[in-house]
Amino acid sequence: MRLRHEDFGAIVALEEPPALIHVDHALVAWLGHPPSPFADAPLGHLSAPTEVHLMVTNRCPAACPGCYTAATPDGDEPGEAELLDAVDRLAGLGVFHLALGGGESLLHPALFRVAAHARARGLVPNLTTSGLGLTPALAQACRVFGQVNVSLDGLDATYRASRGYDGAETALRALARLGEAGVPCGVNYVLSQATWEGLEATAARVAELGGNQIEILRFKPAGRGRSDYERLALSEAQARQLTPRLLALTASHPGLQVKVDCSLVPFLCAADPEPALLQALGVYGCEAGNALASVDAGGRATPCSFVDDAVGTVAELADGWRSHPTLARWRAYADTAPAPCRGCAYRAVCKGGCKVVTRHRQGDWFAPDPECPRVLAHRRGEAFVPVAIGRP
Amino acid sequence: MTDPILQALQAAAGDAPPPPQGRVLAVKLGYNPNSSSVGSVVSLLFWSATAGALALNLTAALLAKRREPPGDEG
Repeated sequence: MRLRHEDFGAIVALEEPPALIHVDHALVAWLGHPPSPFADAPLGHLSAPTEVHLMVTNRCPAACPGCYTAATPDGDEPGEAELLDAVDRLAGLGVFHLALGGGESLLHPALFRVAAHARARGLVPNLTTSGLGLTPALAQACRVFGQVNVSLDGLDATYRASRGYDGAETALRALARLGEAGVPCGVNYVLSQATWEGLEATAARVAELGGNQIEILRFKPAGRGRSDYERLALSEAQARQLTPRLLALTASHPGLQVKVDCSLVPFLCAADPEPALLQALGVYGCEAGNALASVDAGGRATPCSFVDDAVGTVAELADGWRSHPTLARWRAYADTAPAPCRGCAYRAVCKGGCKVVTRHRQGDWFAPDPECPRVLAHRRGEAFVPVAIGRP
Repeated sequence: MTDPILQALQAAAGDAPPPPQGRVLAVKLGYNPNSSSVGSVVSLLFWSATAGALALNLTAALLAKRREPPGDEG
């Protein structure tokens, strides 16, 4: 168990079960820790990211047309020493979780040494992979990770339409191998016009193979994804249908954890979940530069993986966490957001939706997410009508 | 899920009973292996009648534990 002081008390990180628990000052004392130094001098943000995305390579043979990092077979790749140094600096900052990705992470010759080093420094490493090259031996080695998710945007033709090659069977084989090796594993599913119809069939297959989660990601206009974004982005009607579909998935597969990424939170909120419950369950909207930070394959630190608004090096991220102007700008948005975010009951959770989409559509990071159903209704001058869902 | 979390916290706290004013503010379950964005579990959000608010339940469980007589640790 690790405990990290915060303005509100502390975050306690558990590995069994894996959880981040936010506790108040009284429980910090009960747990035998000294008072938070931020009780009397609040930071106004987290004392460190809870997780950092560390891109170990931008090499990948797949060349997916929507790749958010525009990875290529000869893309950038940091050396082992650089990655170990990044882990050390992030551990020193107080980060709990490291999400290793690429490119195809398995191509990096030092991947497992970097993961072992993260463990030794008290961080839990997790991994995203396409499954390409995941042999049974590598699946065994993946036990160093807390969780491994395989990118799987559908089965057969759906995968091909999204990724541009026939990779579904490779991904499913990787999932099966991870399961056989006893590695907690699931899939990441990028939701777009190309994959909208394939979600249920994919979830069923993942559940059948023993995957423990399906994390649904909004397709974003980043990297090669920018060029075809208008064709692939979800419609307003689809945004409104998302929550009922997720609830049906949950009901069909009780053993499968259904997750959404931060950028889908505005769509989730269209069904009017209880805001206090969202906060109590740690639902994250745009946490760029607060709970989340990212380091790309060139060593550039940013508030989020999709953002080119650079903070600098990993050292500058670690040293400048409390005062860097870029981070301050990203953190400030929720408090300074214009209408309709300003008056929205979900502002503290959603934080204005996905800034990557906003900049692509409007040329500015800091404006309400133009695909949020509430924002669309506001711009039409209509009252927002929440999505109806069956509640027990 | 509440019980293992409660047990882990109690193990860290030793014999001391939880303070009555202590509160669990939020619980974020699981790891996020997605290396591009942060994920949140949605399974519980709309089924509060059955799932309850985990953080609130945990606080209640801590308080219940505080009221347990000695030797009744289950």
